[in-house]
Amino acid sequence: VTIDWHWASIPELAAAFRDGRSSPTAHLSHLLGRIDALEPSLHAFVALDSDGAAGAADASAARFAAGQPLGPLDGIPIAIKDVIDVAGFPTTCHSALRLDHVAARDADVVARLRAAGAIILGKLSTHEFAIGGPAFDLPFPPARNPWNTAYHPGGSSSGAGAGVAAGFFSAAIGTDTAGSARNPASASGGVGLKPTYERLSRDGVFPLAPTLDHVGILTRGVEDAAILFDVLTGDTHAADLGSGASGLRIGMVRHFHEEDMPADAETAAALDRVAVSLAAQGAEVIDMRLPPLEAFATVNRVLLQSEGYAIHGADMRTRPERFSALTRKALLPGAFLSAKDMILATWHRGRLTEAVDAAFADVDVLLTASSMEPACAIDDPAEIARTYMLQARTPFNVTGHPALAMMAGLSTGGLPLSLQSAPRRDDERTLLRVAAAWEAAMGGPQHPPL
Amino acid sequence: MSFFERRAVEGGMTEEMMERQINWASLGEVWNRYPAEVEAAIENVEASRAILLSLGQPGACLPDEPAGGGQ
Repeated sequence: VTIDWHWASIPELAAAFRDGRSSPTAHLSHLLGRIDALEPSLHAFVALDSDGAAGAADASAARFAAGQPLGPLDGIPIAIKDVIDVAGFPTTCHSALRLDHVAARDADVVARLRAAGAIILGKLSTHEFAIGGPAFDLPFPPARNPWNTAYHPGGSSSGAGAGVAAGFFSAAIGTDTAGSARNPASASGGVGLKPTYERLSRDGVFPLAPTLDHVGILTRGVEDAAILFDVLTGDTHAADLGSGASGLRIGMVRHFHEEDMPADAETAAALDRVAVSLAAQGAEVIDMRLPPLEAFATVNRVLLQSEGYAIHGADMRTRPERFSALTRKALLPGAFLSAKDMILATWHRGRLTEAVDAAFADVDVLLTASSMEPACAIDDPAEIARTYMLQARTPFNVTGHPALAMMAGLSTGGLPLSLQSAPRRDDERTLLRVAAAWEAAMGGPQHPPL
Repeated sequence: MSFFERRAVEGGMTEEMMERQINWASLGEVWNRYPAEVEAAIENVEASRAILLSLGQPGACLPDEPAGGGQ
């Protein structure tokens, strides 16, 4: 039996490292060959640390040989969005403004991964400062979608989503301020987990909008996401993934994609299939109403623009030409928002959060659309601008509830369709459980034809 | 006709926007080099502000006349 090791799950790799069918060194060598062949068309990386990774793989291999691996992530290659510090590498934020900002130490999440034996493979493409869109006027090209390189891979954790889906590494760490860890999982497949606000440390992460910023996890499968979450938090969610959906109460927020921001027919049909499947597994699926999607999106936008301009305003005033045009477009409104606007947005944020909290009196988890359409062509600015707004991820940045996006099926054009689920705050266990139930019904993680 | 003048003529120049002109001046290079982007940003903010106001405001549900006796 030939094993496609680049698609192997983290537990499959750990088992192979233990019984000698593979080793961290051999696996890394396989991945570096795959990256060498495919990266020129995908542009997932800003920096690839082949030498550092090789040293870490050798050390991991020695631990396995001695029968003393550090845990489930020992020897597992993981890459980091380039807004997160990795010691010795610039945290460029994909921007000409930060090419020389070399990190003196690892971000907290990176240090935790290294301590668990993970191999840090490199820094990943992002939209400039995790905002804007796929831009062609930056020092590095934008990442592309492994399902079809003419398409956008989702962002802003674009290299993370593209690289995970392409089988370059087992997992990536991204960020999520308006859906940026969940959008790549929606456009390129896989799983994008945004835990509860501040559940993962933002130490060493370049901010976009601190009250909305979350560190996120991107993987090909739900179990891998649970393992990373457990290692980073000390919890034990991976142990509960086989419970299925039976007995869960699921609230389907249809008005997001049927009334507020109509989804295309294939996305709507895929969401219906997910609901039917979970009900067939024994879940109770009911329709649930929340405040209109536009309210969440507007509050998210006003807060993000205000906080983002507070960070970037000085550079915007003195050297605007150093930003991508897309970044200027995204950040400039912050110059004209008043304290009154921000206070009003903050007041609405409280009301919206109360409404979402109240919904969990009746259900255990919400099921919503993630992206309303599959990915669009990466070189079509008008389509990028139009589709970027067509999403239901901002509610859970506004409220801080955990949320997960994953594939709901494939479009007739061969691109991923997506769903999102969200539980009570700090209930990542139920979130991962329902995601695992759908993933099993789908036949496991789906991979692009690479 | 400048952007300011056009907005005033169209009746879209609000008192609050006039107050914000000080920020426009302080935008410096952005305003000088990318005026169309600045105009788009202002329109973006106006759209967001209209939505926020349409959602309600603190105190909007209070009676018009004070009930008296409170502080």
